[in-house]
Amino acid sequence: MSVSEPGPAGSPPTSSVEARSLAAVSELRVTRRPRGELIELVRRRKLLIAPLLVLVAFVVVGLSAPYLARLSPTETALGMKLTPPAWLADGVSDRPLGTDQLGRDIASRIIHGARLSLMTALVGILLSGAVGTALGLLAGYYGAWVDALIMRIADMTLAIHIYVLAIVLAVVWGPGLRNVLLVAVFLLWSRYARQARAEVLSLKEREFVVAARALGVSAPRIMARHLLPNILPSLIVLSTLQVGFVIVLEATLSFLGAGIPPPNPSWGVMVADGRALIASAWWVSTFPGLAILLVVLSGNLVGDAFRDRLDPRLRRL
Amino acid sequence: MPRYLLSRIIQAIVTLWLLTLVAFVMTRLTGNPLDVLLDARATEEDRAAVAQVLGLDRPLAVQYAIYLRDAARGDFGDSFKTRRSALSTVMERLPWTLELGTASFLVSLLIAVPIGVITAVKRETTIDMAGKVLALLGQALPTFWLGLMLILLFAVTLGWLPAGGTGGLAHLVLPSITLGWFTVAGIMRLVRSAMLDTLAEEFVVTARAKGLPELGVVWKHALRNAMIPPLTYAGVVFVALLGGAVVTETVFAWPGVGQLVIESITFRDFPVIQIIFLLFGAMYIGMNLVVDLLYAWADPRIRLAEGDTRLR
Amino acid sequence: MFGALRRVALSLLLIGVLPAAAAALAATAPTGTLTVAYATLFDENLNPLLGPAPSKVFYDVMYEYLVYNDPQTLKAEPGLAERWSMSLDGKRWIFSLRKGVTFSDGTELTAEDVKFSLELLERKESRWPLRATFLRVEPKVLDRYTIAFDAKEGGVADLDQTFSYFLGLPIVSKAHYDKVGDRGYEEHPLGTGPYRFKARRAGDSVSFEARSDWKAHWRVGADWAKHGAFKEIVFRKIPEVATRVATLRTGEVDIAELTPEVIREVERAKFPIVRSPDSYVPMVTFHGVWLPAKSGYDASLPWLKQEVRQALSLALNRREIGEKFYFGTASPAAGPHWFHPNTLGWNPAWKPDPYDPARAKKLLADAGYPNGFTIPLRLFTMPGTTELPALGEAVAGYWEKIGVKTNLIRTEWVVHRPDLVKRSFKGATVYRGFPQVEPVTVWRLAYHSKGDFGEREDGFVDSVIDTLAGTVSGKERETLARRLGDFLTSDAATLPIISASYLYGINPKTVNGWQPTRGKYPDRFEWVVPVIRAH
Repeated sequence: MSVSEPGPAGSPPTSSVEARSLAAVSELRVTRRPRGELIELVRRRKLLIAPLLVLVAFVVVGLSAPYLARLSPTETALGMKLTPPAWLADGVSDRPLGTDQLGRDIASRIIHGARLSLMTALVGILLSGAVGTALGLLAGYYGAWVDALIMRIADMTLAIHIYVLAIVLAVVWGPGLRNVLLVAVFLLWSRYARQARAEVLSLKEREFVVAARALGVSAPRIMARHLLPNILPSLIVLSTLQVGFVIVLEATLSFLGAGIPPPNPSWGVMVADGRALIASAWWVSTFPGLAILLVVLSGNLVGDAFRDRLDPRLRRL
Repeated sequence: MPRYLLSRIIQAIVTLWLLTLVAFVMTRLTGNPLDVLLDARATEEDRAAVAQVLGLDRPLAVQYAIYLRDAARGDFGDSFKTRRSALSTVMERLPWTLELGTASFLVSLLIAVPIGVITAVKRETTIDMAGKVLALLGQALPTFWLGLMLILLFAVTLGWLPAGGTGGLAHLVLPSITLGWFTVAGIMRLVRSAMLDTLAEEFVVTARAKGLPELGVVWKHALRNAMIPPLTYAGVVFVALLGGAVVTETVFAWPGVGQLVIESITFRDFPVIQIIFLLFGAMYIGMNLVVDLLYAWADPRIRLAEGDTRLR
Repeated sequence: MFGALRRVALSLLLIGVLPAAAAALAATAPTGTLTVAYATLFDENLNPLLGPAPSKVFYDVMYEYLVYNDPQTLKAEPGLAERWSMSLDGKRWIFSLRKGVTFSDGTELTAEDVKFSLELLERKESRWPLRATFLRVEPKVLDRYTIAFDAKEGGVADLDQTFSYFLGLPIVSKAHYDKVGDRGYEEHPLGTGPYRFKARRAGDSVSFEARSDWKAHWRVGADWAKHGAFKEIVFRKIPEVATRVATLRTGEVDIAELTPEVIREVERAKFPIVRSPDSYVPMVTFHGVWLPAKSGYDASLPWLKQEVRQALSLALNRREIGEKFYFGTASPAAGPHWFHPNTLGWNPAWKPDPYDPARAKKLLADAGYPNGFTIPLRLFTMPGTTELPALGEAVAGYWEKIGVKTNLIRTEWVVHRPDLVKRSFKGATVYRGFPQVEPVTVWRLAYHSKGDFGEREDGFVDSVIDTLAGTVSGKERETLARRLGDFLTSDAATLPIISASYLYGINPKTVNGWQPTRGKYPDRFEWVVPVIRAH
């Protein structure tokens, strides 16, 4: 059961439309390099500078968290509980964004949370991407019953009520990062699979693939050396669109008690734990909420623009 | 076509059966309902007696067999908590979720379609970006947070709308905005992309070149075509909304199946958990099947493609 | 002539007086709807066969009991039973019922109904928690208004003056239940209380309305006539506390169950907060196998040493927790688990441990842990006390300052309980206790080696509890209980943290007054006094 769009990044989930719309894309994209595209993109659309900067800042902060945050994100200090941000009355200058319900410094927690969210998103995307791409390649290349089987497995994973799964996992394993990742993979792998499959379906009949087959190159080699590099760019674009999804998923799961447990300073936990305090101590959930908002928006805007760029139909306009 | 139809239906049935197995295993993994139903002071005898009444004293395989046999006849067992039929327990809550889902879907369309059209027409301008941001807000903010903020703003501070529960139309507004906003981005992308397609078509370019009024071109022709993709996926989006209503229903105290999910798992109410799981699974698989069949019927290449993509 | 004058005077008098009298009567008849919001209604069922659920918040407006507690002192008071006595040999309790009490369908309450109510809960499928205790007695109808409970084996002396078991027995109408059967009863439950069941919406609400013959009601009649009451009570389920507070602020709800987190918001919005005082005590409990002779005994567990537990207690700043975590609604607590002020065995000399991290560190070093150690801490919510996991984080924070690292494990009671029974969990939990009117049963569960949880298996503990079970004299029982309590306190078997209250926000525009009971998951909604508007 998808908790958001019905299919990969908003595109319809069935084979036909995928095959049609991406066939044209594949034709022209064989020779492009992602980095060159990116630079070209920014040159054309100045508006994208802000989101890109946000994403870069996110990664930098995430990677350098221990050096950036002076105060401990997990040390409690009930005496300083719910201190407002520094610029408000009762605020303290060395707690710039205030403290939470156990007296922990929010700024430090957001910085450390960036690292946790970054890791969660990356691992989640890598896992679902790996599983999805592999299965999609197989489905597209072999077709027939392999294709049908994989598509039905995809149907089944999406038919599973995701909240039932998440809560049951939390009950059985206890809340944790494992649960978030498993739920993310359940939801996302089929997006990668469908995309990969659709592209492979059209690439399959291209000359260089037919030639390779005629020469007796083994299937795995064809998939790895000829097909994969060509479908990779679009999968990367797909990934930028999923970063936000995983982060918000983690927040929602924390709300249900099925995500990453306290005292980990993940943004999702911070927003979920602070939700009863919105009216009396808004800073506890609003700052991490803003962080999530910025990262998700930026990821989506950049990813969308990138994808638009890759769509040859738009060039005609 | 008949062959494709038959094979897809068989696949759907097999998937459903697998889902019953998954549901059964998942519920048994959550622990012992007796620990919830009975107080800490209950004796072993008490527990054994209640276990027998609930059918939990039999071996797992037997329990599963009984479950399947009864389910085939439409009997999904009795709720452990209320001792009334699990099916009626779900059915009495389902209309609420359907109501919320429908309203949310409509809200979603109401927001997504205009944004999709406008951002397509004004692509790559600030308006495009602003429209995208607006659409994305529903996915960039955790649903529970969005709901609570809406309550704080419109119910508590402004007093325009009630804070929770059911009642009249006013009670439906905030929950459906909260739930509906989530699918806005996806629908918007579909609309936008369809609009872009249509706008690039020959005769539109020609019409513009001929100097026909913009409004007529855009709104009369392009819009009609832009609505097709989202509407074809209405069913699947709708089912997704229903499944995702858990959070919204909890925040707004909406007594639908979403809250029942949490209640039944908290209570380890196996029959109810299983039937909810099956219900949503069946809805999704059914909806998917219908959409696929429609496409296959419309486009013969698809049925051949999916059934016959062997290497030559 | 005087006759006619008198007649006219009389009619004038009547014209003047009657409406005023009518108005006076109308002003105190039950009016309005009281809406109470809880995080969960658990079962929403009113058939005692299916159990009371952890909270029977709405049972008490419809059902009545043989004996009631005083809301503050918890002492027994007459309820449906006017008086009771125990036979000299301790084998029989006799209860004399109040005459003229009726169910809301008009039929009179008799001893047959009491017998039936007990037997209902003894049925095989019953989920009533005290079923095992009920099975120890056999009810006998002596006459229409007298019922006796005979001990099936041994005696019933340990059921003591407070008669807590029968406090919780809802009295059901035998005639009615026989007529409608199990399933029918759920749709049409019947009680002797001032309210009768009106409607139920699954997952949403349960509602009641006042009986039309309320004036004759033995319990509320006089009070309602004087203070007024609500005509209808609706119990609503609103799981999110932020939404509950929102509905209180918008006026959709009149009484809302609160958590400590939202106290500030409710206070700032100028809504009074009502507390059920000293209702529960969050505490740290320690688990592992205590007796070296038993299998699974692990001598390396640091918390098996009394000094270590003492140190962990001294590390907690209880005053700060009460003031900062509970916003002043809780105060430092003392005494072992299941011992509370005003109940059996309480020793007023017990004082809360002071906050002394320096001494705590020294104790640890002396006990052989100068560098601290790591302890698993399981956190779970219990009904009505959802702040326990957050409190656990605070506790972990204090322990960290003396060098003890905590491994926080977020779980559920339902997952943890089997491990407790199997004695397989080794670590600590943040749990809670609440005042028990008759604590001996719980002590047996919690401390006795044969008990399910056996928090402190020990020869001494076993012998005291066994002796208590057979002792009749009140004074002897008190002495024994206190000895047990003293031992457990000095042993630091559990660490009480603070004494907390259940918190409720009330809407002053609609609710004039309400005081919930201390200790139980609160009730007494039949006593909520409405704000009467002048017309």
